Amino acid sequence: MRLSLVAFVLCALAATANAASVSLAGLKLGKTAVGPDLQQKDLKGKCTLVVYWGTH
Amino acid sequence: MAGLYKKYSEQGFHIIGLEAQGTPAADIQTFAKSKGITYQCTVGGELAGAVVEGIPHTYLLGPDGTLAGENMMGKVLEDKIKVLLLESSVVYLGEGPYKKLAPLAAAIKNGQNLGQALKVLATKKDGKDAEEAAEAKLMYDAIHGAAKETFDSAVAEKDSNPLGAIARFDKLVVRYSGDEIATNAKKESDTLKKDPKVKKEMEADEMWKKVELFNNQMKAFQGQRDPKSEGFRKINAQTIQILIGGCTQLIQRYPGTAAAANADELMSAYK
Repeated sequence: MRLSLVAFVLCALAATANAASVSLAGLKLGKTAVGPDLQQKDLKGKCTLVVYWGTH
Repeated sequence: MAGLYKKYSEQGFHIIGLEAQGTPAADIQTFAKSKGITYQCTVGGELAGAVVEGIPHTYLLGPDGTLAGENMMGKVLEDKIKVLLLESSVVYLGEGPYKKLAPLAAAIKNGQNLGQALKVLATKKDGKDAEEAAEAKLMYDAIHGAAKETFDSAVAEKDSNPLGAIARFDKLVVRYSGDEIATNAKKESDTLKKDPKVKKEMEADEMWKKVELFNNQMKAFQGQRDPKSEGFRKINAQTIQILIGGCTQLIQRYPGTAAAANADELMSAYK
């Protein structure tokens, strides 16, 4: 099925807007349960993988 | 992921696990121990702007704090981490330790321009204070060496991956402004951008980035994003149709580009 360029661009722009707003500045850390107790400032200049996960 | 953390943590790679199901800290600790997880896991926490439809959902942030990738997996993720680590302050600063130059090291970790830092260090490494001069030489060599490595790797991939080379040159231009390496990087980048073939690749890549971001917004089905899964396809039916439409347009507009090849591969996975 072929959809219009307009539909794709609108949807793509919406997706871009969501992702573009994500940055280290917006990272708020909860209470550390495992591993090092780093704060947001400690991650500046580093490469960070933020993982939303669950135990079940 | 635990393996990636162990492999790259000393080079400036961190993983932050945000537990999103309200599990108590004690249960997280038990779970982490059973899985060999040693990276930081927190109870709660959030990443502003994140749109999480299912877990796990990952966001890769570069040393400059901006988003470098979403839901990357396997080799793609590791390759991206390796590239980003070339820009990490750990690489820039070398091993140290720095006592007399601790304030400058801290400023660099917080993003101080490296071209300016090199100017300061060039003076200090010839100074009268022997301890400071030794530290300055160590830091200068680390920063200059990291820049040269990035520059050389960008030159090496000009033909095979011109867009990747441009991205590296442009980062050098910003981070090392005022230094000769930034001037040389700008010349290389400008020359590449004038090439009609590279221009076409750049336009195609812009469109591919939109397709890729759109793909990342797919809802997970039972924690998985498997294009072959019937459940996944059902809950994302409309999105998949639009995605295929986008891929088709990209292939038709920019045939023969790397982005078109990516779109073709992605489309095949969903068809």
